[in-house]
Amino acid sequence: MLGRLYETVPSFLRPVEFRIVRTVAELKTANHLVYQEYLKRNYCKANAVGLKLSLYQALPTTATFIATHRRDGIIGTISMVEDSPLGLPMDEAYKNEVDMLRRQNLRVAEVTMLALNSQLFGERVFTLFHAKKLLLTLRLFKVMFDYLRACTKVDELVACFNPKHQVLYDFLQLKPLGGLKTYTSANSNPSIARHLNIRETERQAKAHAAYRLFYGAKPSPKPFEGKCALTPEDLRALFVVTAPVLTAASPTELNYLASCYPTYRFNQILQPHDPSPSPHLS
Amino acid sequence: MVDQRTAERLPLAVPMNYVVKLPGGELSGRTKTTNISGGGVELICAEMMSPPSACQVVLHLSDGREPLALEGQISWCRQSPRQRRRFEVGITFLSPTNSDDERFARYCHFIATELLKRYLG
Repeated sequence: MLGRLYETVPSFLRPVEFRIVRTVAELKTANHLVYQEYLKRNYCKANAVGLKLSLYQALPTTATFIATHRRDGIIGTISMVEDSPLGLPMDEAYKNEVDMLRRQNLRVAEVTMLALNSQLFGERVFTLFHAKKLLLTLRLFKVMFDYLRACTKVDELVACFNPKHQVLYDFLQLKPLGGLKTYTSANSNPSIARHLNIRETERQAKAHAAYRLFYGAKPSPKPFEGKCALTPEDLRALFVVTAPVLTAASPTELNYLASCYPTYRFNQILQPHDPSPSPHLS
Repeated sequence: MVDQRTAERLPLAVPMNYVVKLPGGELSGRTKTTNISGGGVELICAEMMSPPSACQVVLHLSDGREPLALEGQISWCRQSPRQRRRFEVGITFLSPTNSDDERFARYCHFIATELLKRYLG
């Protein structure tokens, strides 16, 4: 019985691919998964489009990673938002705390939008006690770590989350950054903040079971070359037509976003009706 | 595809002490777990223990730290089919009332580490 049970874990993971999001369709599906799972937990409010979109996802430096099952499609996701003049999502509640890291000239990125399809595991399954859920979560973290090491210069990961998930982040040895607060973006649920120094994880790679997984072979940037790049049409479709994210952004935020896409015509992207010709500068 | 198991059992022999609160007094002993999971432990001992007696378990984990005490209750007890005058006992840990409970966190980390050893080597 136990032998059979253990065999189910590799066979569960075998048809699952862990990688960066390559298409807008995948980005939307991953985002919808986050929305569904967060809505179940009352971490976000219901909306008509079934997505949890923010300005940070429109940035080209934000990366979303997925666990995609051969038969069931996207079953897990996690995102990483690199710090920029727009700041980080968690600045809303923990700006002073993140600023302490910025003042040390550390390049910071926020881990956010972690979600697994809870229908896979039934209700009330605790990640650290359940091998499939644990490995699914850690493999998502691993692909994010690979990206972080191969494609970015990030020094410090930060995260804020509901305190009921604290045991998982403690297991990953994230250190305290900010205390208990009300997090408006998480539907005014309680949150705490943690941070993790990347060099420190590398130093401890051999001593920690999860870090050993993260620090296998030196990651190559090649698997990330297919990272989804949002076109002007994608920006308009997702962040103007589907949800009024860009239209609600401040001029400063829009100016920065426009500077990230110097060839895009933002005046056309921002039009609520179908613009013509293409909002891409020729 | 749905996996309803809430916690997987690991066949680990962890040295442990137990104190069971029975109507007639306390019963204590030392043994090893036969398996261990996030929800509790199973063990073999010489005494019959009636569910749902309260008990305290002290686990001598291999993490190099002091023994870990957890509260639980006897969830089942049966005569061992393999060893005469021995009983197989299942102990379920009580849910921590506070997620900050450091002992519970340490136990969670131990289980997760053992699961990773099992599957990742």
